[in-house]
Amino acid sequence: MSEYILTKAEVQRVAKLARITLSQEELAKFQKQLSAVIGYASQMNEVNTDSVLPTAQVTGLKNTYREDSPQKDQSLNHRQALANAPDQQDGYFKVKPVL
Amino acid sequence: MVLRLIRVYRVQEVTMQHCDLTIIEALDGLNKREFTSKELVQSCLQRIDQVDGEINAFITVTKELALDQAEEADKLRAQVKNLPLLGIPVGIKDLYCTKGIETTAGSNILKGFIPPYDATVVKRLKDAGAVIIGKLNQDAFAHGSSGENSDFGITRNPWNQDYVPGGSSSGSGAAVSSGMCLAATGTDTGSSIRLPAAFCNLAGLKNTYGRVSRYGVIAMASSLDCPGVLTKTVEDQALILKIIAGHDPLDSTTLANEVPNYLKSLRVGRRTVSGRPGKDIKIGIPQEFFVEGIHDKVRELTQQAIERYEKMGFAIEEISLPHTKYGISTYYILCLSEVSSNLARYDGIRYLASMRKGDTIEDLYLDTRGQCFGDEAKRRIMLGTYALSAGYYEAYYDKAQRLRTLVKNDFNEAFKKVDIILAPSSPTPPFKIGEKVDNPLQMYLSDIYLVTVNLAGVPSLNIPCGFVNKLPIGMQLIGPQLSEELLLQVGYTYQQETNWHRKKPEIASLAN
Repeated sequence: MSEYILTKAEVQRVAKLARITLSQEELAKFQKQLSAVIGYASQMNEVNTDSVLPTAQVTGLKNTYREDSPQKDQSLNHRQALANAPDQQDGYFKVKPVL
Repeated sequence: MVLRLIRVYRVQEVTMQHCDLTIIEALDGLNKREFTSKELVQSCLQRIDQVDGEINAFITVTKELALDQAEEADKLRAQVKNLPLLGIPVGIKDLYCTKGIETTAGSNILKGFIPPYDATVVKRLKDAGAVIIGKLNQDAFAHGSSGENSDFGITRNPWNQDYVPGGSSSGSGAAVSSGMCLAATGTDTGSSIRLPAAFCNLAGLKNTYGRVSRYGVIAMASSLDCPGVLTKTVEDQALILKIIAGHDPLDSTTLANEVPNYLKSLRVGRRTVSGRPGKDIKIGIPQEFFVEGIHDKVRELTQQAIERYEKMGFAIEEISLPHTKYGISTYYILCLSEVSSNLARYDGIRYLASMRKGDTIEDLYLDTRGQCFGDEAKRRIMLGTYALSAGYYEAYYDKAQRLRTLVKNDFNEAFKKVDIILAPSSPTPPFKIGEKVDNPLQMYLSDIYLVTVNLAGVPSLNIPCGFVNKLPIGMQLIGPQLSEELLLQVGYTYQQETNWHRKKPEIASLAN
């Protein structure tokens, strides 16, 4: 039995989806805090929105186009693009094995 | 600790320095050759030396660069090559990419990041002749309403250092109000320009969504983020908005609408009566903002401001924004969902923070993000991930997108009746450092009067309207999309009649 809306397992699942490792203390703290916020947000259910369309773009702007051509003054060269990389090799980002 | 004890002995009158001027005043002095840009910048640098040990508004001070830029500005001025901000020292929130200058977003995960390009706003300020004096502290990734959530230490309110300066543009608010720079950039996703402006006695304008380019501003919630500035006066806002606003091919959500000469229209506005807007302008007061939870003194000062407008000839009418109470829920669900997506890029591969002890790339992600993100970023990413995850999407994210429509409709309906809306910026005066830090929900609720503006994409200008126990109180003027010109006119009218915005904080270390 948990007094919180989210179980520890649910918090753990969300952390895994978000690729974040949590300590046991963090898990307990976040279970409490996340539950409080989600609990508060459930007040949205008081409003019937069945006939309301969702808004994603608030100014109503749509479909902005430009020529699909290289913009030299906006491009970075290899050196600039990799300047902040923690590890690199032969002009590429270097990562751990994927498999 | 020693510094805090000294406050008892502070003096009332501190000699005005160049750094205490507004931009308009400083430009006047520069153009009349009363002082040079170098002297102005030195005055700000001296103020930083004197007070920033206590306030902690800056993450990086670009002293050499600023002095070089100031000398360059003085040369240009001598050649009568004038630019609208020539030689004016401005601070840049550390969320804005600055070419060649470390940009951290207030987070350890970006420590050491040197952007290869300037944000459009930074480029436009530099092109207008502004001097970049440094990078300002903030809540990490703009996650916060108090400035306490920075990996580079909390920022203190110059008006009383036991209190928060408001966030997330905390360093921006503290730096401008204490004279460490003449203006500073901020970003307003849910409150982050207006709340620090309110808590630090400044003008802060959250523009119409898309009025100012987001290019090069590290993303928090892309459908809500609005870059802008914090200044000492409405006039300074008008001057800078003309420079930073307008279409940018690098941000496809920017609006193509023409940018008015805001400063000029302050003095000879379209709808003015003998130089002042009034009479035909109707101000709406939203009843939902004056219910339980509002501090008595905030209510009283807002009421006095309303009466002042009434005396100036503005019509006042009560209006309703019925979905205000759902603002925080709707805002946070949308904001956190977008945060969880935007912060996915901090994976230990592209930026310097990288935990590489594990064997696989999965370990790299988990360890880097687990160890380098602060608590608030983790909370927000997890809440957003939850709201977007299978089985919860309809109940949270989709529901909030529909509620955004209703909030927007509330404003549309209100603006059929009135030209602008006047409301408090915060239900309470500035709060104490530490007061809300362990209770994220209470912290989120500090933004209750501010977030619906972002959901509707409309502009809102915070201006000072009084003090409670020597702490500043702000109010906001809200208008329809692209009504910045009118908001600035109406705000300017108030500042001509009042002196709240002229008051300066008494800072202990300046009293010696």
